[in-house]
Amino acid sequence: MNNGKHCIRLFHLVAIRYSRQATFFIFHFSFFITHYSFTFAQTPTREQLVGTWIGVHTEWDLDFACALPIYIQLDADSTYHLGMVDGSASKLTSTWSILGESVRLDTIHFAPRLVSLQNELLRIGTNYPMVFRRFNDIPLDSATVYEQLNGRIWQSDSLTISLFANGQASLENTLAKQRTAHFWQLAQFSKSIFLIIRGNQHNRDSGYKALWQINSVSSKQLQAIGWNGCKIAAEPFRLVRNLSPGDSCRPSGFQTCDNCFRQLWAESTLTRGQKRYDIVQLFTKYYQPVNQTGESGLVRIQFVVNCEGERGLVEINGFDEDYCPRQFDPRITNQLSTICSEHIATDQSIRQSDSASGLFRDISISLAFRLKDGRITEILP
Amino acid sequence: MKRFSFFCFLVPLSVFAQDSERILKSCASLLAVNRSVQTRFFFGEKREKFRSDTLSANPQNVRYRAFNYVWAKEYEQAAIWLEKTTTLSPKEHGIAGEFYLAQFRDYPRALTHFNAYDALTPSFDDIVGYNPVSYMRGLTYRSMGDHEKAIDQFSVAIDPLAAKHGAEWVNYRHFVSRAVSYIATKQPEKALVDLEKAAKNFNRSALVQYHRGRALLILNRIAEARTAFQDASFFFKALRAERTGDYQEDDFNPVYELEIDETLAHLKTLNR
Repeated sequence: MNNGKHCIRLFHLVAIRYSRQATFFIFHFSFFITHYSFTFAQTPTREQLVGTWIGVHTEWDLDFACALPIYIQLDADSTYHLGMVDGSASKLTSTWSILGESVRLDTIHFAPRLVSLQNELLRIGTNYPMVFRRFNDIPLDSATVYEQLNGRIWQSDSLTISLFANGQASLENTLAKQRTAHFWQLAQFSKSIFLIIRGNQHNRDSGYKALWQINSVSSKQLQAIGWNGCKIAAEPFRLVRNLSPGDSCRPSGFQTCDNCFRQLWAESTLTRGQKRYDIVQLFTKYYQPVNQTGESGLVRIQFVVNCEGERGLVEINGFDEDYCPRQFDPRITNQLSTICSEHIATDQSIRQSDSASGLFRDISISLAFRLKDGRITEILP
Repeated sequence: MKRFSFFCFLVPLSVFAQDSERILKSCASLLAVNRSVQTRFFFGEKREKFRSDTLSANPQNVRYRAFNYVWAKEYEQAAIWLEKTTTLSPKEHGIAGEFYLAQFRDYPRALTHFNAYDALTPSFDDIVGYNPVSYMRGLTYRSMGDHEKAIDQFSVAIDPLAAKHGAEWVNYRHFVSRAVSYIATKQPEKALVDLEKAAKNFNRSALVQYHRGRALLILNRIAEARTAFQDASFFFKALRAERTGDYQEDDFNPVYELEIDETLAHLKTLNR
């Protein structure tokens, strides 16, 4: 029990820390990322490490990665730079070295083999591996690139990108037909041009969605280097058409504001401490018992409320008294869902990340009810 | 004109400078997190599950796996793995019972596990976490609405310890739990005796004062009840200031600030 509480506390601390800062990107969930945790690679040599490394993604879990908008520059004279690819923050400068099998970056001494080179990718760590690719400078004229990209729809085998003249952008998974809305801009890194996709359907905040280095662009073709959902590649895009004034940039469904959102990280606990009182009162007041023998067991309702108060990703599951999955009478589940929708999802205070600043965040709610013959007997913690 | 619009397009980058400074620092922190190999993956449940699959099936590992499912609210898997722990080691019945009681609110199953745990050493009141199994069984009976049996079990947990070492060695929450059952069975005098002992062991408890107020109300000692509720309100606020976060003195005996305030407001209307 103590271990459990410790882990939950630790989880919440880091989840708050990272979910707020939201720097990363997930392309789509269906692709499994190769798991290297147990691969024992050799520590690379100094000569192999010298150069500039562009962040690709952080592998937070086996099937969940977020964009890594940073670069690492390791100079031959032992100078180390850590900066943002789009130059939006002052870079950190220090030194680096290799001591035996261990690499040191600034004051961080990595254990042997935790900095490794695999298939031209620099992988750092096995807890939450950070993946970088070697940077090759491709000189391009930024104004020309902007002129070619602006106001057009580009499509690869897996992705359709619409780049609106007002700075909005949409990304659509070609197969799943799922579209998310963001903002785009170009950033110059050395002599290269990067296409930066960040923000959400509402504003430019909430982190990075994707960063692609433009390899080449013409009026009909675009080639961009980056993570395409399964590998790092120079992805070819073809011009679909110019955007017309009638085209709007909208997500195809529910979209979280945070580009690196995970339900378990963003869970708002409403059934512990003092908040429990309000939840118990709420369901006591609004739930009308459905007196029906056999409607017993657990109903679990999970949903997400984004920073703007929109509700989505609703999932309702039932379990019988032996914890086997089962369906409950819709009069029960519909009532519970409606109460959640009308009285919990609309409560601004649960989305407020900082009462002083008035900022809101995406939150995930998970409630479980114990029922006996259609009556709520307990709300689980 | 096009070059000007491109210039405008780059300008917003500076707007994010503050946010980007934070992002850069968090990435630097993440590099530090990755400097060594951690044994458990707290934020990657699939990676953690993958790791769990490679571990030997000893009771500790199986129990840990069950815990992960409980946190994720995957009740079907959680129950399967909790039962597996008790099959592997009967000593796990205590923890399984506590989980069914506290997390699942499944009182019949909790009781089955507590009984099995207690049967391992019939002459000894085994400990589950920080509590004797009799106390946990008392909480289970109370949750099932059987206060008489609950009082019996709470007494098994409290009385021998108090007789042997003194009431000051008894966890004040145990006295509160028995008092709650005394109140439920209309025995407010006995409740007050327990609550006095509880108050001696923790004299700044909002929980104790709240239930004192309830017992005094039953005895129609309104003025004393009001003082008790006022003390409860004061201690509650003091504890909240002391212990940041969403504080609850005892998860098995929750007391809520609003509840205290509502009771106080109701008492004021009685005076009018």
